[in-house]
Amino acid sequence: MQTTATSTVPFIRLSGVERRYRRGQQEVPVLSGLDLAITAGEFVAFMGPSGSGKSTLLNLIGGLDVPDAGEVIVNGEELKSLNDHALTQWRSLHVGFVFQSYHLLPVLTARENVELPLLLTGLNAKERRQHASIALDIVGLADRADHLPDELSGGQQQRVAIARAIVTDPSLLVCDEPTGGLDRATATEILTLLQALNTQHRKTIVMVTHDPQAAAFASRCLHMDKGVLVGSPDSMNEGGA
Amino acid sequence: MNHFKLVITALRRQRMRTGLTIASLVTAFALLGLLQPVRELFTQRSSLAGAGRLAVLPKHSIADFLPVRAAARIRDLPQVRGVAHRTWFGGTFRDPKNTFARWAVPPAEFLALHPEIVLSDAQRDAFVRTRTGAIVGKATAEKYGLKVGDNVTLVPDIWGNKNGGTWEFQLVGIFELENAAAAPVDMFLNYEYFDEARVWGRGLVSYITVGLDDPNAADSVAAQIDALYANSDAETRTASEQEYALSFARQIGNVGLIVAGILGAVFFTIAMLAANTMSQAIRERTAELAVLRTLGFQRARVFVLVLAESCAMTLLGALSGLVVAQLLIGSLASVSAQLGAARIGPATLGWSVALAAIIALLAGVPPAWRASRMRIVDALRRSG
Repeated sequence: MQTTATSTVPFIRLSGVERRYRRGQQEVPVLSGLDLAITAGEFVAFMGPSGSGKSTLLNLIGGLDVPDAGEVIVNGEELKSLNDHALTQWRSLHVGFVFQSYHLLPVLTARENVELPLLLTGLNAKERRQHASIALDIVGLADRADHLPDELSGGQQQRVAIARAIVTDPSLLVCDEPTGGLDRATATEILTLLQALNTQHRKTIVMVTHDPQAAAFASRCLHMDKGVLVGSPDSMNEGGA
Repeated sequence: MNHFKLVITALRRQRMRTGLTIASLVTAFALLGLLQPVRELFTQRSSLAGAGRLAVLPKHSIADFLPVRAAARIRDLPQVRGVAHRTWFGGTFRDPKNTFARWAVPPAEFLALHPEIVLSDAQRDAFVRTRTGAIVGKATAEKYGLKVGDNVTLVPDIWGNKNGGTWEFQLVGIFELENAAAAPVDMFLNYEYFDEARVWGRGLVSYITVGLDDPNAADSVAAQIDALYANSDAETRTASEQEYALSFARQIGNVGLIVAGILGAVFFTIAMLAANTMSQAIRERTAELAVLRTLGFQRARVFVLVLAESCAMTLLGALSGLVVAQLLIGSLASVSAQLGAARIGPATLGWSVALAAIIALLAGVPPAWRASRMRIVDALRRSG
């Protein structure tokens, strides 16, 4: 069977990736020769015990960190070859980040938080405001645009964070324990939203989670332990929950 | 939402801490605005060029005297329009705390040489004609409830009276000064009566005032006067009138150095305080700044944002401080004519800009540098 170029060229490819951290006099390996391929439009969850290297892997994919060895190629860009300036610009154009603790600026309203990444674009104030409103509408928070984070529930704050992540229309969403601090019902809402962004808006999503029920929303779940992928590389959740 | 709002909202994060730091900056710059003009008054070497009036002083000390006859020789010099003299009277009016200046002057010559003194014709004539006459500045008259016709009693200290008692003067005029920011405070007494009645020092004056036809001739006239009395028993040092007034204050020490020392200590402390505030504020927001970097804010942009925060805080404090200083200077005029004459001029503004820039940089650059160089991953991990 002949495959198309989009299906044969992975959107994210990691080859022989190693990452070590120095703790005192010792170098501790976190990722050891990791290989990975993720195609465009996938929703991949990484699970594993604490210290298994999940977040480090996520940081490498999101361009927040660079490997000591090996290569990380995202959407055709070899991230290690980019200097800090270019890597920062690349992140602003291609990646949206969602953190467990939301990391919203508490003195800015929901809309202003969502507008933050747009300050780096050529949009004028009115356009920035419009884009932010659209993003908030997508996550179902249009009516809370003028509220400060303190005035929103945890789930609503995470929705604002997701709106901020998608407002520049990046192709990749990097989510680090996005439901870690939420109750089950709210977590399900957030995961459903992420799933919709994946299926309806074709966002490629990589997510780290400890929660098997959260991982079930992904189209593929990979397990990590001691810096390597373990188990069957084909283990997939067909269609999520 | 824009970068400016980002800076301002950051400043409002810890309102109490930012407010107190800005209040400290306001205090420091108010002190600068208040003391720097005073320092300039005390440290400037007055140029004679353009001076319309000269003061001919005893060469070695303002506590010495000049013979009044010297005035006649000076009057004969070319370019000299008129000559008067002043003698420090001192004495006590009602209470030793009442410290306005009292001078004995020859009324006609003195008024002719000081057209800025505003008196009605009647009061002017009365001062010239009344042997025991005195005139007083409006501020002093209002402060002590004096009115024309009142008797003014002065208890002698330097100048004893031949009658062995107090000096009695009749208040014949209350004057104002033309184009002055504040009402005048000095009192002027008739020299003729004073000279006849004093116990000692007859014919001596504190200094001679010289009016010039051409202010540009000040240097040459001053040189001629000093040459006239060189190697005599009354050597002179000719200066501007302002220089003489300030020489009194200089007796208490190097005022310029004292003021500079105070300002130096204040600004060093304030700079440390502002640096501490900024450092603490940025440390608390490490995760937020890491998020900005994550979103694509370049190192330089984060650096400028933090530095702008420091600049905004300093600028606000500096501007407010100078406004406060200007208001205080206005109120000083009622306390002292010399201090009241102080102004926030280009030099003070220059110092303010320089000090504000130094404080903003000292407070802003280190945290801005740290914020721009931080490892995003570490900063996010530490914040959970």
